[in-house]
Amino acid sequence: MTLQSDIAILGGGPGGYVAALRAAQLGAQVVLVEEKAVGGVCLNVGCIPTKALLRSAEVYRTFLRAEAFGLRLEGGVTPDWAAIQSRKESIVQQLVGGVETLLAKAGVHVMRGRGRFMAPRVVEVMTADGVQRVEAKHVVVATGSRPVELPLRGMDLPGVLDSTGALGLEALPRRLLVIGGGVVGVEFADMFNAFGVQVTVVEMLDRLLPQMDADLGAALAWTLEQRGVGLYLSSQVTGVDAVAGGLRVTVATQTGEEEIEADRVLVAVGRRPNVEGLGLEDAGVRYDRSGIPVDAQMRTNVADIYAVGDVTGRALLAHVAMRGGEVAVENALGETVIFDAKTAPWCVYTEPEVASVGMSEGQAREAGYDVQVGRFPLTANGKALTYGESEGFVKVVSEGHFGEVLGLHIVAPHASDMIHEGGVALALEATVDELVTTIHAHPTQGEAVREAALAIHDRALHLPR
Amino acid sequence: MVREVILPKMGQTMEEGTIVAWMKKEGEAVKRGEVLFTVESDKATLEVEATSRGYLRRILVGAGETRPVMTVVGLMTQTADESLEGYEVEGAPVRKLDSHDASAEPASLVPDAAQPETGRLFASPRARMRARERGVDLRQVVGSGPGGRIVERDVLAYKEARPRATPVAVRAAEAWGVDMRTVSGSGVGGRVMKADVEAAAPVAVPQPEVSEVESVPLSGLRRIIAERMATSAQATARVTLVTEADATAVVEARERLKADVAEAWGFAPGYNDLLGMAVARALREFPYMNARLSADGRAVERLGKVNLGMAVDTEQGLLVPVIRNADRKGLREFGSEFREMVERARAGRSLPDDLSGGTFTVTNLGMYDVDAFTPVINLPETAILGVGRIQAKPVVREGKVTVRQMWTLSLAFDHRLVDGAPAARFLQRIKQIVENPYLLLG
Repeated sequence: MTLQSDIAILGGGPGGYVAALRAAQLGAQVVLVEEKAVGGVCLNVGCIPTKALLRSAEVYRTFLRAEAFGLRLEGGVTPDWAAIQSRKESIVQQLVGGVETLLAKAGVHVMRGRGRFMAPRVVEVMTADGVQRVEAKHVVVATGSRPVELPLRGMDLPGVLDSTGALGLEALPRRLLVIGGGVVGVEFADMFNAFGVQVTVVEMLDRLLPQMDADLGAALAWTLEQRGVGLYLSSQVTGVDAVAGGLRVTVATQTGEEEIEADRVLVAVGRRPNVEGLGLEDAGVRYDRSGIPVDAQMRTNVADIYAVGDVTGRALLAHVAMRGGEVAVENALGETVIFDAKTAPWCVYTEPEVASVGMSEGQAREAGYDVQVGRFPLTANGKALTYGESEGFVKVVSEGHFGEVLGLHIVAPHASDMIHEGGVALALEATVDELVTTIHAHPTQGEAVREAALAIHDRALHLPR
Repeated sequence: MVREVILPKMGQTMEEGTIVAWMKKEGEAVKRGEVLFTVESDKATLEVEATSRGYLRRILVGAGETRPVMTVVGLMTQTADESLEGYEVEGAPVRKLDSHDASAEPASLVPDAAQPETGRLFASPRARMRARERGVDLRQVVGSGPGGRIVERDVLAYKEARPRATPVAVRAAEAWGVDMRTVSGSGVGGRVMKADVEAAAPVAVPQPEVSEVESVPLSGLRRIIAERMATSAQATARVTLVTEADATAVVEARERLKADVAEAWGFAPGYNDLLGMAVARALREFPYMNARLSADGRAVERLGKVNLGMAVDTEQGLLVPVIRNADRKGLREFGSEFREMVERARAGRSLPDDLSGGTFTVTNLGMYDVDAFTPVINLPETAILGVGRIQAKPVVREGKVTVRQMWTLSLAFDHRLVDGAPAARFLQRIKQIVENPYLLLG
């Protein structure tokens, strides 16, 4: 029996389930095919669980600094890893349940199983009850990505984990080596460091967070080093060996080869799109190892087949997948919507958080702009001082010709919430004047954005000249 | 008894008002306290009441018209038919106009005159104020008042109809000279983005790929020139007339003067001097070309003196020394005065009077092989003469081809103040004098 639908969506992660909800909103009949749990990597083994653990880490750190706030802790505070994990689990379950409810209420038909193309608009799903055939007018591929595996010696040793494995650890390791200084790597490094794990990070490029503005990685590196995290930049892991008591990692550093011992190794060097086993060839969809290429309307080379999110190989961010999902189904259902990721922020949930939207200073210079930069340190911000966390800064990147705001970069508590001011400025093609003429509440960290904008023209009031 | 209805001064700072509407018709009976008309100032709209009973006999200033406060805008009488002798002139100030009052505005016999074709902007004071507040260019606003007058609501409505554009797009449009109303927006809700302005820009915009080669800050003089040129280009209705004058006689005269008087005078009079004399003479004969728009933009002032400005290119930029009473000076006086001023100008030591008070300007680009061109009028003057080169050319005289020294003269004039034919007659006279220099003797 063939199921007919307007839209079939392969994958129930952020890209897929948001596409499904939006399509249902627009009145379409939607089939969503998901192999594991709705919410995909993000909800189950990505964004949400890591943030839950990071919050526990943050609260723990705050308790350890209780005296700074005039509080005396009798008997100390101890992390209960099992309880921390179970809190994480219950949050995940709550959200997964929430998405399931949303999908059900929207009338989306969710099929549990693995889907693959038989023909451009025909998908077969291997469910627990057998093979189900789905015919759809449009198909959206949102199968996401998985962690990259390094082709190195020792990668298959027990104790060498990817992010999913690290999240599922039943006990805190004594020593952890993280391969990869990008967003995933530094978050885990910071989180485990908070709970007393001895952490070392090995990054191939010359800075942490290499894809973001250089100042951000530099600030984070300083913070992590202050906390006792070992950092090896411009270094590469060449292999892992099992030794008595754990693992030994061989690292080619700038100053020669080093051997670092650890109980666990986390491989966080990137993610690759899930393009295999989907029958894309049978649908005629063009793809390669780096993903399924799409145009600005999320269309693949085949009419009526769209791809969104990590599987496209671009900006591996949940919110980008979500917006892509909306755009794809809106286009499928007759509108013409252009996808523009220029306002998508990058957020790192370390302590303090790091967030960035738009061009980095380096990118702006490379693009040939007459670059202007305004900076404001959090030490001069009243709210940050009352909060007891004044490490960090705000940086505004603009250009001199029209004063156009090109980028906003923040290291601060709640940076991920502050960053949207920059996103709106980019969406509206605002100039620095708009940031300056907008009254920012006092006392807030947000004021630092305005001060950084003022600093572009040397007009910051709360900075000594 | 005839009573004058006056446009009242409704506030300390009110200087003029626009009559919005008359509530009574000519001949209608009026009770004390009834509203005669409503008037709009830059601050408010008010009703003007009749202070006594009577009949509204004449409406002297109609709806949509703007007048200074205290202007007589209507006439009332106690009875319906008594004589209005001595009161029939419109728009006069409070005094009875029974004598020749040179300071009064020229009387108009039609109370609700439609917008004259000279293109002056008619807008109520309130409309002007709103336009100033909102940065609206009144010339872009369509007036819905009588005679096309722009009133406040026109300015308010215009603001809403403007296309939405991002702040960067607005700046880009200004910088690149793009009229935003012609740009279609690709942003959300049709908003105009920088990329849309870029696509509409008339010239390929080199930013940000091309880096600046050199950046010269606008000097004081350059900035002043820039502002004045822009104002002139935008304000004047500029028309350029081009003619060719047979300068053969002038060329000969110059040769002979060079030989005869150069030593005694200390300089050799050149084409500019001779042309300057011709222009000054023509200006005396055509006073409407020796005129300017008054400071308040409401009158054409014909000037008593012919003060001829001769544009000079200096290192600092364009300067225009002025030869006062140019039509009353002989060639020697004209020439030596001019040279002294040019020397001062080039040395940057011009006296204040050197560069001001001009009534007409002559600008010469002939030495650069330019023939005809369209110079920018030196506001508030009426016109400017652009002088091209003198070139030997074959021309037809009495049916035969002969070689003459031909001189291209371009007269750019402000059509708001002068019409084509009168301007052409002036230019023709210059040509006549140039072709017959002996006319300068008279």
